[in-house]
Amino acid sequence: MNDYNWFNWALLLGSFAVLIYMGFVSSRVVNSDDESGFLIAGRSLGPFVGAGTIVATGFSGWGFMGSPGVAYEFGAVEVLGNFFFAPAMVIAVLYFASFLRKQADRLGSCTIPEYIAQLHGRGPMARVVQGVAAVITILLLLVFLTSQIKAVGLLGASWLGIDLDSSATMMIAVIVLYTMLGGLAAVAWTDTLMVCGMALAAVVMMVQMFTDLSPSELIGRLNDIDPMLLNPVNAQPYGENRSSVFLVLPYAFLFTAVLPYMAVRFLAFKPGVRFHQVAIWVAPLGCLLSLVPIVGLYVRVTHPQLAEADQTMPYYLANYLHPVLGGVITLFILFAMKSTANSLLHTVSSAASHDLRKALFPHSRASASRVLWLNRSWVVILGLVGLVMMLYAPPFMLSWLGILGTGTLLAVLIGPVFLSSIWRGNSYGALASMLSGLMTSGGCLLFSDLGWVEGPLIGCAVSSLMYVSVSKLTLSRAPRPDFDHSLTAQA
Amino acid sequence: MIIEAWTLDWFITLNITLLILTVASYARREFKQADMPSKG
Repeated sequence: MNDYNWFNWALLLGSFAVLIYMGFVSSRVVNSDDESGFLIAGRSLGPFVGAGTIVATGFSGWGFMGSPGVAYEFGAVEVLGNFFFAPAMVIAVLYFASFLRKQADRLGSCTIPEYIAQLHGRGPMARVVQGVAAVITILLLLVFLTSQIKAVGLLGASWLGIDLDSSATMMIAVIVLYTMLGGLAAVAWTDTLMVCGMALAAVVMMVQMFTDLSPSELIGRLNDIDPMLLNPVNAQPYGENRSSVFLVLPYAFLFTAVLPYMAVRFLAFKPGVRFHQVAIWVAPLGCLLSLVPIVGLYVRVTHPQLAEADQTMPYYLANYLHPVLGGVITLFILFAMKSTANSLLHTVSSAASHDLRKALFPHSRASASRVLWLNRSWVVILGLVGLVMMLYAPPFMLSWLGILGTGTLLAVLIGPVFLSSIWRGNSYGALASMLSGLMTSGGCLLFSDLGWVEGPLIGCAVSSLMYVSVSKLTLSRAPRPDFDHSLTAQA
Repeated sequence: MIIEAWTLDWFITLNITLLILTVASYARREFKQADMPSKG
């Protein structure tokens, strides 16, 4: 690909210019007196942009780089497992997003930790809940952000022929710049551009593969190599039982509905947007992107002696596509990683600048311009922290903690964000739920042999149980804030 | 069974089902929305 290096650089720099321009344009949304401009795009997202940012953020670089490698090694079970993110997003959009948006709108919440605090308590205890939710969010997502920066850096480095540190620094600098300029609006608009590229990449790869090998040929040759690639007796790497792969659906639903960097998007829609108009975009985009792991099956058939399964996508890009097309597709894969990285950066910086500020300095009367300056500064600070962590932390620790981060955060927040939509507890229940979810899911992932889906789901069960039981036990001491009547009356 | 591989059978069936249900849900809600003013 060296002969085409200049082309790759031109593509990358062109995409940087477009992303920064979008950040600049979206900064108009931010320059309002209301902090919601930076935090939730001034509630300005339409159905397509909203769907684009949800799908782009949910289908991270894993779908393009990790998942084809797993499909190469374990077969079609990964194609099925990865697919479940599409229905999960549609279900979350159709049946949960509207509720969350209405509640947050009534409460005036601009972030998920703030929503949790306002929903469960008032005064000092609410501030404790907001602070704890913010600190856990920052800790767990910052590590995930670090692993995303590393993934973007690694792909950029091999694509452009430069070293990892320079590549990662360049990528995160651009992400910081447009996120700082435009807040969530910039993140959402750039995500939408990126998801269009990702969908186009999926189409190009499908056309290439299925013009080379028909689906029946692909299936026949997979069966010749090993029938277990199509008809496994278990669902490895998801679990020993075939049904384990179906656990990805509830996991992915909770991932979309509960994790702050996904759920905050539901707060950012225009008031008039109806969520079936969003789902009609999410479903085809999700289905299209869920086809990408088939690349793993195709490479397994055409080149079964690959030394490392992780090299499936790089091998495919280098050997099956024209270098120009390979360069364009690589850019779109970088987009997939960046769309997750920018969302994580925006979420952790919002938790630091908004939630921690509100928890620690509740009587602060900072001006709108000062608050905006703070929000933007935290984007720069945490972007730099992520980069420094990537440069100096041990590589194994990063990838492992990256997996640990999202699953554990899911177990932390399931009670106060999701379960509260069915039965609302109080601030003690929310606090107990968050801390027990952290311990259980973290403990299962760190100290047991349970799979990456099972550990967080056990954490979710314990966290939910604690949410209800502790809330019930302490309701007389700490009653829930009384706004049920107004909420149900207006809903 | 479509292609005698449970993984791909589920994958294809669920893909098609998701698209059909989403379009059906969209159509139902749009029609409901369009009907509302006339009922009022």
